[in-house]
Amino acid sequence: MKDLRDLARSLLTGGEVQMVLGWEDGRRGARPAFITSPDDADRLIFDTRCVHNLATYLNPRRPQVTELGKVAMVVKGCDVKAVAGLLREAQLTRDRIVLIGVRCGGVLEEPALPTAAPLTAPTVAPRCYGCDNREPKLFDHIVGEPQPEPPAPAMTIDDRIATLDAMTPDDRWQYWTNQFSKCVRCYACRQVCPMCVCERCIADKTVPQWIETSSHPRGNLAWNMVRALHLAGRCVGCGECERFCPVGIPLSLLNRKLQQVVDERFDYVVCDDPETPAPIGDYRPDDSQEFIR
Amino acid sequence: MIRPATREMDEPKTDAGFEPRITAFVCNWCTYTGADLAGTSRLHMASNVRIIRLPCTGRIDPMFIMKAFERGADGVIVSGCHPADCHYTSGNYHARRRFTVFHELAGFLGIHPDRVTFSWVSASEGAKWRDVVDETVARVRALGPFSAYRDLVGRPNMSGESYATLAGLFGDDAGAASPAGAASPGGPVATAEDAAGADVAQRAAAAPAAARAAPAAYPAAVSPGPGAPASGGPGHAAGAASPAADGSES
Repeated sequence: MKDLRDLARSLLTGGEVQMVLGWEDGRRGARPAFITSPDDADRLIFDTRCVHNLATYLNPRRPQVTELGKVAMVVKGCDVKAVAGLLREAQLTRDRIVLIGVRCGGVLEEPALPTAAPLTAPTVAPRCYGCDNREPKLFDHIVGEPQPEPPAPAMTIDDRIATLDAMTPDDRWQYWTNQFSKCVRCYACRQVCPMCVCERCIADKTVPQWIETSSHPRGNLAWNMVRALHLAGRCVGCGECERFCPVGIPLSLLNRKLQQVVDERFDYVVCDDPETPAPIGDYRPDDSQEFIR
Repeated sequence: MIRPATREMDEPKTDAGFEPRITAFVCNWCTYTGADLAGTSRLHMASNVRIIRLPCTGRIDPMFIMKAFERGADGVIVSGCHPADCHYTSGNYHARRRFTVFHELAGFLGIHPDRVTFSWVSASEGAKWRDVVDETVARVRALGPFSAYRDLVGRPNMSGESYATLAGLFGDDAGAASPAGAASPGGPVATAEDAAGADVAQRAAAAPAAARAAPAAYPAAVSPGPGAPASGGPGHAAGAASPAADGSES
């Protein structure tokens, strides 16, 4: 942690950046920290409670942070994929940010703890299992020691998807419409997502109205479907949408399912290389099409 | 304010009299011309299809398909130029990727794959268009009306019991269910019914879990009373008392 604080202090002192974005201890566990003075650099922490994907503050929908000038951001492997996604889609330019990569051994599912807790099967965030980016490859500085692999949760996201896939379509329909009928359309999933970059969301359009705005199961299905579709091949799997969902809809199952689809069908795995084109918006003439008559 | 899906025709009351309503989204340059050829060639085909002509399959947003179901379609056909034939060079290649993702997601959500037909029909393939139409109508006829989608409008909010079922599906809160799930990762799992069955048995024990899963914002939806319809039923008894149902009637 000392090297992280020293680095932040020197970046701020030297005037290279106007703000360091990281995590600090808050009243309810770790929380995002916006450090503008070198004296405050010692507030920065990094441990298993630092689950928040701070890349969402680089989203052009949310210019408050980037307007302050050049920003240095502490990024885990999953966060930096979102930064790469924003770079890939020209929502951000590389010279606007300094990336401080941290080597990450997984995070907790629930960050509201007074001190860092070791990761165990019940407490680890399921998305961390099988992480392919525990050491960011896109960074300007990297800090921390190499970390061990996170433990496996009792049931991985892929296991859950396999369970659903083994059900009949009618049972799946029942499961998902039940889940979506909980949705209150607060759009927290959209607001927290670093990759939801549209200035005007299709869910807010009224003429024509594509998504029914009231919270009933039919409009909820359309909303959750279009949210997943718009993130197909773009979602970095940071799991913030599911963590923020006030009614506990398992959005990571949808996101992960589409990650599997683009991997199997288009041979694309979301990565932190901004030069790799995203699968939707790109194509190959020989894409498989066995479902097309 | 929830409006029912608009229907030009009355919904047939019995399955025997069910005529599927199919919406076709076709591209202007190939399939629309192909369908035109089928007509001028006097080919006989099912008359259940309403065609919506678009410049290119690349113009077809997956939301079109969802909207068609919302507005009363029982099945959808999406058709355009064969790969490499696109009037705009690459529109159908882009569309193919989007349809791939939509096709998989719709299947994952439980929309039967037979409800949506994707095809490439060129301007000279009038006979193929007839086949696509006839086969789609036959498949959708076999599936019956897509009332599952339309009935979502009248459906009540989650009840407390449904919450318990959801919590138990993956053995989240039922300790006994998780080893079974963990022992068979990736394989064909029978846990859907097992977990649900186990959950029914443990429902009393899972009540705190249900309370945790159901935020306090839903007190009205919980406990419509013993003998209330299960989540699959229309549940008018529960819905009639809820403000949502009142709003939909006014």
